[in-house]
Amino acid sequence: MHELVSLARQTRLVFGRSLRAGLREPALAFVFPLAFPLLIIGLFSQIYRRVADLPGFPAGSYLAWMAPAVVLMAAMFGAGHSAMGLVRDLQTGFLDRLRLLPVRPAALLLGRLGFDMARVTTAGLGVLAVAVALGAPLRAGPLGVLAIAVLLAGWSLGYAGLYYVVGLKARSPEALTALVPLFLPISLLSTAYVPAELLPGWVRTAAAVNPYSHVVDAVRAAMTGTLHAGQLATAVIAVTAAVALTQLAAARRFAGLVHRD
Amino acid sequence: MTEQAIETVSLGKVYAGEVRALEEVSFRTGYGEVFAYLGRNGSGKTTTIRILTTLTAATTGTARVAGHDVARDPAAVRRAIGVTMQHAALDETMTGRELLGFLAALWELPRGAAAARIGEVVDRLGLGGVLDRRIATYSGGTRRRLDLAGALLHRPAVLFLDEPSTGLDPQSRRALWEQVRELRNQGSAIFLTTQYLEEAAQLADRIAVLHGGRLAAEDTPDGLRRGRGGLRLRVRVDRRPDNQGWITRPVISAGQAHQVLDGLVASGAAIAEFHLDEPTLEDAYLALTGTQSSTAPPAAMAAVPA
Repeated sequence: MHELVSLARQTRLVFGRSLRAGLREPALAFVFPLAFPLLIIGLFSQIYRRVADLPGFPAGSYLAWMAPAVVLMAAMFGAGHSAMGLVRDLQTGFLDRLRLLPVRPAALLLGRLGFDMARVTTAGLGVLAVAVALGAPLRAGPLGVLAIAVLLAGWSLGYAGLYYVVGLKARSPEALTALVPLFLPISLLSTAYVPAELLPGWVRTAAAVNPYSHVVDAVRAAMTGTLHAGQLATAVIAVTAAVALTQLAAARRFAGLVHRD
Repeated sequence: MTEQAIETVSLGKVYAGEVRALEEVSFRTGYGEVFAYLGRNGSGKTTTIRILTTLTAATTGTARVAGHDVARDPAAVRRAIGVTMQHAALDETMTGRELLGFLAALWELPRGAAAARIGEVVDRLGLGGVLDRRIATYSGGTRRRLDLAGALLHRPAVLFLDEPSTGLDPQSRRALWEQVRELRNQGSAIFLTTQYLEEAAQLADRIAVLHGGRLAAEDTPDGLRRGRGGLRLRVRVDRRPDNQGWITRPVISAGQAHQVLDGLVASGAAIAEFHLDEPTLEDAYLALTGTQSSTAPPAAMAAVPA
């Protein structure tokens, strides 16, 4: 029990440090994950407005279709911030200083990841509010919004893991910057912007196995009030798989780093 | 038997690719002592410090710090040590006060005790005027002092300083030396790596010289000087167009110096001035590390009879 209390306390301290650093660089920490999705929602909802007129298009407007993708985009755009901070700690030797303190390595990761989740989920819900104000549906009640927040937080955790794996391997901020465009193939090879029925065959196949499709479909269903247990379970499994895959790899790499070489 | 602050026995480290960074290094140092660890870049100084501070595992041998085995009980070692690395390891987004508060909280110092201790180290290191400024705005010397303050928060019995004065201006360096002496006088054991011989001469009670990953010598500064350096004869000779100015020659005794001077006179040289110098720490260090001395005799000295 004491161990858990101590871990929670140390995680809170690391979270506080990340929060303070974020508040001192608000453009990177808070504005960036909000600004780009808002730009995309503004542009795409106008440029592709008439896509909704295609026969068989399953939503009332293109904005309604794309809004969930843009909400989740906040998770992908905000993902690298804390990993960047960790790489900086590695480069400056501050991580070694922390290793010499009686701190559990898990707290060093959990505090950062917790901050990423809180920051990105807030940004994503902000994007959701703007999308709804522009006309996207939100027919789900508080439970639906909670489901969206949980999926958003989970997806941010899974996606952030990629940044940690690459950052801990390459130990350079440049490598993390190079990851930013990754959101494009992940989004385009999914049902984020085009319904599965309208995708070419091979893209439809890719979208079917892309976990992101299942998450974005569940968020869309939550917004339209049609989310059912099976769909939510599939999305939760997809998120869990993404988190397990990336965060376990990140934790392993971090453990290798903090373990004496 | 008095407990040693640091004790290593046959310490060795081989990195991936069979790179031997350290071989058979054994030494001891006690409390209330500054132990200087000298060596060129890549000689194994930082590897030793990383092993002793539990950041890196030794490949062979054993090491105990503050009575704890670094391999078997790293947590106990960490509680007993304070460390400043080659580069001040700080979070530049914080202020000095925030950083010390953060470190004190991670040390689990109770809030009141933490505030009092931060006040103490801040006063001692003269950081009061900058504490509420962002670390990014600090000078190199102030960063070093803040780094040291962070290392002292939990009152470590053994302090590791890895090249602490690199990049400091002379005033900051002297201020740091004063702080090191004060800590030593209070009973801390201080393990100091440095490339500055003057720093070792000023601070060290004992000096170890590391060369190619092996311990070349370990002694007091005086012991090293006398044991390794020999004497040095410097002669200013006039009326020798090929040899104006000072010439220098290592000699083993005053008698041999006398013979050299006699030889010069016999060869017709007019000796304007001569000095017989005690060996310096630099002489000893250069002899031990096999480096060409900057005070080596010029070629013309070949003409001087022994």
